[in-house]
Amino acid sequence: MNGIVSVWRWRLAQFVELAVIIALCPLPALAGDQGQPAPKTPGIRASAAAIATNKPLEASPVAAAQGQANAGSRSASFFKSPIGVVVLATLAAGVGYAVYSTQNDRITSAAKK
Amino acid sequence: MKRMALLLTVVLLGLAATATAQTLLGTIEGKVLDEQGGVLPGVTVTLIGPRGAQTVVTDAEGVYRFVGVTPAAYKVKAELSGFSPQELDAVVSMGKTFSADFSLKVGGVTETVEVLGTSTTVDVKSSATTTSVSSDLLTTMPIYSSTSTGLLNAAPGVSNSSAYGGQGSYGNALLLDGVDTRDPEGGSAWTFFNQDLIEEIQIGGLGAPAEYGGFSGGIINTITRSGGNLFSGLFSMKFTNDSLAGDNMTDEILDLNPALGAADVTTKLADYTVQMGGPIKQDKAFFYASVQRFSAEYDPSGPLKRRSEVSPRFNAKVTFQPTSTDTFTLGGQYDQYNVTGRVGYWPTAQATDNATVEEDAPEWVWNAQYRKVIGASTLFEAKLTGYTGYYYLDPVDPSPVIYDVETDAYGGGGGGLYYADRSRNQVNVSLTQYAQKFGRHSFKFGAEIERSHVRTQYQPYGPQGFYIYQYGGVPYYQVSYGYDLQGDNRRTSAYAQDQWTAGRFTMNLGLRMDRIRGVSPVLDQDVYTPKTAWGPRLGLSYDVTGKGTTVVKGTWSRYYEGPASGFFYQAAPPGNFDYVWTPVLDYGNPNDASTFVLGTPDVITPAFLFGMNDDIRHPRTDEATVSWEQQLSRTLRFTATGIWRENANFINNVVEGAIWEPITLTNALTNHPYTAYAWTNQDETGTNFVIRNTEGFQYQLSNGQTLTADPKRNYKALLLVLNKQLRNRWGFQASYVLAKAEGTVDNSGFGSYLGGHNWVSPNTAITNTFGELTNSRRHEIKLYGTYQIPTIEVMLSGVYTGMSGRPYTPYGQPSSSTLGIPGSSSRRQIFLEPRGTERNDFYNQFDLRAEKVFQVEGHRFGIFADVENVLNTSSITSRQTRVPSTSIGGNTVLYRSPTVVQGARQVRFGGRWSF
Repeated sequence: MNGIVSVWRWRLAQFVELAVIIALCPLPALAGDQGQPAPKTPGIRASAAAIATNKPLEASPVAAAQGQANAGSRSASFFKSPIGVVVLATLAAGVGYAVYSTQNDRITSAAKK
Repeated sequence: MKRMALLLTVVLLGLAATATAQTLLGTIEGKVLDEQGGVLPGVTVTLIGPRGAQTVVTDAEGVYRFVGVTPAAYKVKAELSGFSPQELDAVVSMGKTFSADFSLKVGGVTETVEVLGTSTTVDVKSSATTTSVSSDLLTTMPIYSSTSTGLLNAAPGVSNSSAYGGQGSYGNALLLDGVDTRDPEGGSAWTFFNQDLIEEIQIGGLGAPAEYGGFSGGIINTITRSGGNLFSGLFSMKFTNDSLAGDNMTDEILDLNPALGAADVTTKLADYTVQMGGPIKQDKAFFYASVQRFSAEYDPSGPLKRRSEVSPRFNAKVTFQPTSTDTFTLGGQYDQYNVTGRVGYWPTAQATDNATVEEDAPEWVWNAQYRKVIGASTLFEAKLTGYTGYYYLDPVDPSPVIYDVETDAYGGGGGGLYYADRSRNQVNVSLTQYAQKFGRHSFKFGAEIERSHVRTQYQPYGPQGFYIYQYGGVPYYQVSYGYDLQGDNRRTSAYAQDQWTAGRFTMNLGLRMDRIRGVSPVLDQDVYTPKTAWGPRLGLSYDVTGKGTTVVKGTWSRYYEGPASGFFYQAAPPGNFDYVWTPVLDYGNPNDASTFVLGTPDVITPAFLFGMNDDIRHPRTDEATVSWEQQLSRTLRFTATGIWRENANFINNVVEGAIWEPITLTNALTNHPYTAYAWTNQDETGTNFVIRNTEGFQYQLSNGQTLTADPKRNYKALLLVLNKQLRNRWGFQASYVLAKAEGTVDNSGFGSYLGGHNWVSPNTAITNTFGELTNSRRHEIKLYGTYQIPTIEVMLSGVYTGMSGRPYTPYGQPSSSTLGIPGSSSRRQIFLEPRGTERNDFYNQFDLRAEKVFQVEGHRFGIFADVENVLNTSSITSRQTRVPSTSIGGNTVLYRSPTVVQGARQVRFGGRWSF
């Protein structure tokens, strides 16, 4: 049991080192909504225009900017972008392997053969 | 299972709720006033959500309402010429009403919209006690379950799938997108689903309104994701292996039971999901599709060395919204459940790999729903839901099982084949009507029709299909039996309920009717005809301060269990086969039946059908609750709930006309004499089994006296919950439950509740049977917390569970010849102390998740590590209860020795990409 504990502690140390490196990487901060001030919203005219077109409003200019960045995710053209291609490829791979698994991993009872 | 969910933060979202609802939809309503408190009619209120926008106008009293709202996040904006507009965020949960009042300020034309905060967290209208879990929380916490009951265990007052003292695994309503997914045989979980597909879960069962029925424990109501106007997707992956697992099997534990061997760990896990939703046509049609492949291997503690599961799952849902008031939804799921290493006939603690079965279990689930919003006050819903599937178990080793009566040891093969076929279809219609007369009313009327089919076949495997009975290693009988049990459940239900608010008081009144029939599909006639079940629901809540911050509630409810063919299918053909005992006169190899010299087969019990009592009543639970909810701050809420539950109308099998002779045996635990009862006329009455309510049944003794059955079960508890919503980077929930479940009918397992043998003889019905039940946790502590570390933006989430161990009871097992009771050994297990006298270890488990999240142009990437059982505790959760001992894996294991230890510490890594 001592040998097993030693191995585990080594692996835990490796994990902690890796976690610290990742956590300190200068990557974009988490854009959570906790603790952030309530954003201003578009005015009545924008609201009316949005309602008339039956489209959702953006919560703030920041959100609107994000929305523009995400505009591709609202339309089929998103899937022609590089990130969209990656999305489709990931979907295809995941679906394909699951379909393959339905045959390859299937346990069939003697009563159903 | 290793991958059972642990815990998560359950957050009652800041909603004033109607009663918990079988409906998957919510409501948003409120009042619009001016700064002086005057009502403002004619205000345009707009609801903006993932599938477009809706607009209503406030009425003469300034009230607005949106009904039939799909659970999601919304914006609600109020606008009136001459006033500054206001807007707030609303999160709608299923079956709940989000109350949002506006106080508009006079102003000119302005481009600025004032954004308001959230409303109170206290539910001032509902009498029920519920908790809700959003998908955001499910992705944050170290939670992992493939069954809804695994997630049910996260709620205060629930453990081992026993909710508020109810039958573990069999007494809960398990709703998935409105579908009751329970096995119609006994009510256990049937459908396994992808956790990443969950939009929201609501857990309840205390003070439930009339639209809920068919349960005696708790309710878990789950809705799955739907598409919207934006394309959204989720890709996730989780993995682990045995190199990431610890070992918590101490030398002390192994000394007591060497067969436990290594710790219970997951040796391999690869679970991935790809899913996407979005518009087919903007604002009109949407889709959501999900594919998961779950693959895991386990090394359980004990003689078993390997268990595996591979489950590919496919889900699809399409939503059509031709108008703003009509919505159609079509959905379906196909999944396979391919399992090796499942225990078959042998007891779990003693099973070896060759004693296991392979499981072939595919299923198809479908769902079609329509809802119509009529004006601002009426909602009509219709649902057609159902599933079909089977699970077929084939033994890995088809040679006969060998059971030694003297040592309680098992050997040989894996027992018989077990084939279970199931189907279930259900139609639900309901009409919700809001009205104002002598206060405000929310009426709901509904009807349900259920049709389900069960077929369960069992036959011993082997050349002639039999088991070998030995005594001290010497074979003395070959025993053959089997069954083909078929039953159809037919239920018709109707309910009416009203949530009536007048001032600070709200009354939740309802009445539910269930007409249940058990039908023989072979005879095409009713065999189970309980009296119509009437379930009144009474609830009262009072807003003490009038500000929605303090509410006291009280409820009284009567619930009836759902239909289950286990109550009656032994009374329907084909039923049980001949029970044949063939004496072994001589043998060459005691474990090889081909070397046996057999005598004349002695048919102990020919095939027969159980009788059914005509005056039977369906099992029910009566419940009373009292609770107090207090909002301590905008994000902090405290709840105290007292619960009293009492069960009645227990159904089981008895033998009419049996005569029992009191005999004196020696209690192997105390060496004192005790009285047992031998069946004196089994040859005459061996086929007189009758299914009935066991209350008042009398056992006839040979001395002319009688013993009266007294089945009972009750539950008392105090629940204390302190909850802080996730704000300013942290949130938590702390709960403490003081509870006791006691009686003579256990709340664990199938047989004690459905079709068992506990009431066949006074030995198992009366002797020492009253006491604390298996699922009775005197003390339960559940702590959930999450904190987002600033600067490095790493979220830490932890879960702690501390519970009193489950009670257990030592038993002795006299021989068949001593008691005159043939057949299953469970019929001869007599408690040597009052039920629940002993208790397992206090259970501790602490789980942790650390997650680093990155946002890149609206795409969210997260990598996380979960550590289950961080402290590597080794609580003993089950012990050997046969006195003086049993044989496990060739080892003599004494009474009280450990047979199950909690899983060892294990790390699981994962990643998510969502947009």
